[in-house]
Amino acid sequence: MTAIPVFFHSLWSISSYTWREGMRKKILIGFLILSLLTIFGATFLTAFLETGGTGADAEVDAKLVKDICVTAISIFGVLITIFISASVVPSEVENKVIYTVLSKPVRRYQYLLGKFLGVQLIVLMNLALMGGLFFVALYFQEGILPTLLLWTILLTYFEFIVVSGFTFAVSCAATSPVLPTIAGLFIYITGHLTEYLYDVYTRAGQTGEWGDQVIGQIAYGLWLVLPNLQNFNMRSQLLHLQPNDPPADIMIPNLILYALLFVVAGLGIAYWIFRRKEL
Amino acid sequence: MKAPKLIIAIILALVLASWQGARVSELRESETFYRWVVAAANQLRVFGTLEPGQAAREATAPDYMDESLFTDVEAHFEPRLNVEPGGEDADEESYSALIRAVQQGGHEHEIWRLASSAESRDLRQRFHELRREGRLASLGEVFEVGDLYANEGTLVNLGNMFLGFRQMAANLIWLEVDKYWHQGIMHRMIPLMYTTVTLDPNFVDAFLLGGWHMAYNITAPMADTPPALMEYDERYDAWVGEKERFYYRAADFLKDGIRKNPTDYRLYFDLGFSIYMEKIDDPTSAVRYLSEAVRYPHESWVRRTYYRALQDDGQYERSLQGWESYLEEFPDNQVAPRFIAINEGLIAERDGEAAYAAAREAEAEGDDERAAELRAEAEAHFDEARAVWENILLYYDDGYARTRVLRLDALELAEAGQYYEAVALLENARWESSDFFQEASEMIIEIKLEGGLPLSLSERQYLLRQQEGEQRRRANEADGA
Repeated sequence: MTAIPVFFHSLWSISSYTWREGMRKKILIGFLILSLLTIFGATFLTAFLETGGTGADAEVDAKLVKDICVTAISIFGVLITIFISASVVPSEVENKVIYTVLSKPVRRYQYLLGKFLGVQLIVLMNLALMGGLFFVALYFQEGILPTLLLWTILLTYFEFIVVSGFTFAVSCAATSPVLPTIAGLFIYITGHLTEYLYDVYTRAGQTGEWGDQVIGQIAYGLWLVLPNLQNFNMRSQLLHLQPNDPPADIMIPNLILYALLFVVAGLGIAYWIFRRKEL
Repeated sequence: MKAPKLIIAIILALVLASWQGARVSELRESETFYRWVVAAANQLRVFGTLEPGQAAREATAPDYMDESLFTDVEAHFEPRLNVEPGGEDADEESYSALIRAVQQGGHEHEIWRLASSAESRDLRQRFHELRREGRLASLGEVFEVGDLYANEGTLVNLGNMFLGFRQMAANLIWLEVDKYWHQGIMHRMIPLMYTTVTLDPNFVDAFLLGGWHMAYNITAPMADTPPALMEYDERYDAWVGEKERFYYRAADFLKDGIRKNPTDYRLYFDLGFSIYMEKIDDPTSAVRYLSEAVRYPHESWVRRTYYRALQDDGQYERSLQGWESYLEEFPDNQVAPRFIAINEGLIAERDGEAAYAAAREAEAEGDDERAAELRAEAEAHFDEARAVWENILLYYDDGYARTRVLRLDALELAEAGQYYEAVALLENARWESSDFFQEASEMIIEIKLEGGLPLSLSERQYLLRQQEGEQRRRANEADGA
């Protein structure tokens, strides 16, 4: 067997094992069931509202279902992503499985890459399940298949992958999943508040004090370096997309590239931490 | 990989990600600018202005810069856009290339390329500075991060709490609106409706239902304002009472929706039909907005309503042409033949009245031969119109056609100098059809004035109000100039 197939074989073995292991986690199954109940329940929620009817009333119902489902996918999706990214490495350290794996002819970067790919398989599987049920719910409620929502789910996934990359990096330094889980939530919340840093930068300097200007420059620097997860929030544009919408065509590939670069950075940090870890 | 190389690789990845982040931010800013350019071009064509007039501005309103910025954008885009000249619209020739490009459609990529180009960077920067300063009225009521620093924090806290889930916040507030509506607590609905659309400017149904609540449900229990108690409102250039203020408020609410969702036909339709046609009785404005509604993908009733508005506005030929094309497309439609006949009758009536007026002028000039010719022509037109109305009455029990026949009789009586008989006929006829009431009332005043008959108190008040309104309008125009 040549080197390249062996490399991919090991990678696949680790990622498929991670996937199988992850899908057995009760907390993930709990989140998944909650999200599915929310999505399914959204169709019932509108039935109890007094907005039901025709015309604009019926369209309000459809909007409520869409928004509840997209929000449920985002919230439960990111919780699943954070919990799984935070736990795959520390739990193997905890139960000492990692020693058995690394005693095989597997390089540490191979192990990390395999684990990360396994996490992505779990996230993708969960997103597919939630998205699929969303489509079914919307089809039964409104008789429509919202294909544009595929783009919002795709962008949601790339938002998750950024959170996943950095949470994974933190998890490589931790011995239990608690700290990386908190860090993951922090990354997600901070990533959504990055926009405020730019606002601080644009408003800084109004007092003429040097301290004010320095704060502005620091805010600008942080705004440049930190991932801005609000960029992935193109739900409004996509859900209300008109034909011939050129900005969306160019934004989507740029956002994917943006996410992938942060993932590379996150994985690099993870390897930098993990390579010297005493195991 | 050795540690220094790995650190360099990580730093390189972070630098590249930051650079890409800056590029994405620039694209997002270009996108906001592009959407404003398209929306402003549309607004300038539809509303005729980007900024509220002096009368409509609040005391604390900033010095708006929309039109100055848009003029610069037009000048920058003009030589770079490849747009066909002219079009259906008579005003189209006076439009800039940018407005024509947005109106004609299909130029979206060209406009986006220009809006996001390096050459437009200065314009983009100026746009974002003005946006942050709140000096662009054409953006409508918007939620901005900068509002965090404002004193009125209610909306901001809501937006902040939901971490990008503002649509959900808007939905939850809308559910409250719905609850208050069913509880009959109307006064609580209005601020919440504004909050909903501020949080989610693309919530078109909230604009539609909000406009409907204001113009119909909130005003339903209100008594009609007696004409003598109406006040002249400079913002709307109209006489208004409490009810009418809500109609105009609903119109403003829908216009705000159009600013944020310029390609949704439902907003134009509701503004044109539900507000201007049904409530404010302004067919010219109704035509303006309904003609926009039919430009975008729409339901079939939108076209029918547009043709009816054209008829109400006296544009009978365009209405007739529209109904004929509609009938060709939908041969089984039941109402199109009736409206085709109505428009034919109205065209004949209008031509007959014009011939009568010309005959009177010819008589005044002493050209009796020409006057006789014109009278014969007028009578021929009236006969044609009468035949149309009577033909309609053969097939339908049609109040409108019946009143048109009575109207023709009244005109002929007035022409023969039998003013009392003409007025008496119209006094009865105006109760036959609600569509005819206003027209008949105005005809009665005209005939009384022509015949030197005394006006009633309400008729004198009506005339005085018209004159005062006209004077105020002229004064406003003089102030504006």
